[in-house]
Amino acid sequence: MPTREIFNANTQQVEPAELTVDHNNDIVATFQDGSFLKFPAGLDRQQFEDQINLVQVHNQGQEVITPEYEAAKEAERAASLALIGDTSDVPQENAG
Amino acid sequence: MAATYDWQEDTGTATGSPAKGTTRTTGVTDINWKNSGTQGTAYSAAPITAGNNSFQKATFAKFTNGTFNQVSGGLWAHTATAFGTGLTLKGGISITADTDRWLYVTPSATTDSNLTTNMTSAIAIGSGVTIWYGATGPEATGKAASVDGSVDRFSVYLTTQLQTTGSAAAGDTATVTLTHQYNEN
Repeated sequence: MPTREIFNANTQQVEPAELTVDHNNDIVATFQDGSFLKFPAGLDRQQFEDQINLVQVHNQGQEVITPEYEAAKEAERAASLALIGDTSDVPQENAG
Repeated sequence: MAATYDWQEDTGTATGSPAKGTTRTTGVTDINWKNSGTQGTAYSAAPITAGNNSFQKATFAKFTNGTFNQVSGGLWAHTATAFGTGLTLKGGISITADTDRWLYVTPSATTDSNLTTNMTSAIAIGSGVTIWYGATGPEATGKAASVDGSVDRFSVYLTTQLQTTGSAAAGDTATVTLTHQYNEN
């Protein structure tokens, strides 16, 4: 299967991605972590290269919140609330 | 009194120049990605078959009715809860020039090559894409990083599209949080 080095926004690294063509003729690049990118059908080679480059330009620098980090933060909040005996954990809304 | 914030969405055939949706819905309460370009259609009535995409959701913000001097510092990101396997959420790019804004097209399930920000992973809002604002609709030229608050003000389109592969699970996706952060003074 063809592979290509492409920037993975999820890991913030350039990684090999397997390239396939789906039933809509879109090009699908799938990374080892299971995440994927679609490139629309109808691109010429230069447009495809441009799209691959834009993936890195437009996604580099994202500070990814992993499910593990999110779960740890939720547990931390629950612990703090339990510590003060607050059971009414209502998210704040903008009452503007 | 703070500005009144309203989520709105354009749908339907692109019309005018710059293009906007034929239908503009106010008071939007959700972004349900689905196989339909109609705002009010229940997502359960228009499921996305695994391997296909949702229609683009041309959501935007409208500030109105409040007493505020300026809106600025806009950011937009997917900030909580992970998507399952086989799902990718794409969005518009960070706005650093008026020409960076996503231009309205009639929504469809075709992969939108202009949505190149990968919003699949939850990220800190501080690393979200930059959003600009303007005096007329989201489609209009003349957007800037800040805008005064004398009358109705709009963000650029905060467009998203959910893309899937055949490995996407059947049923509803996780409920994720997308955040639009801005300063108001």
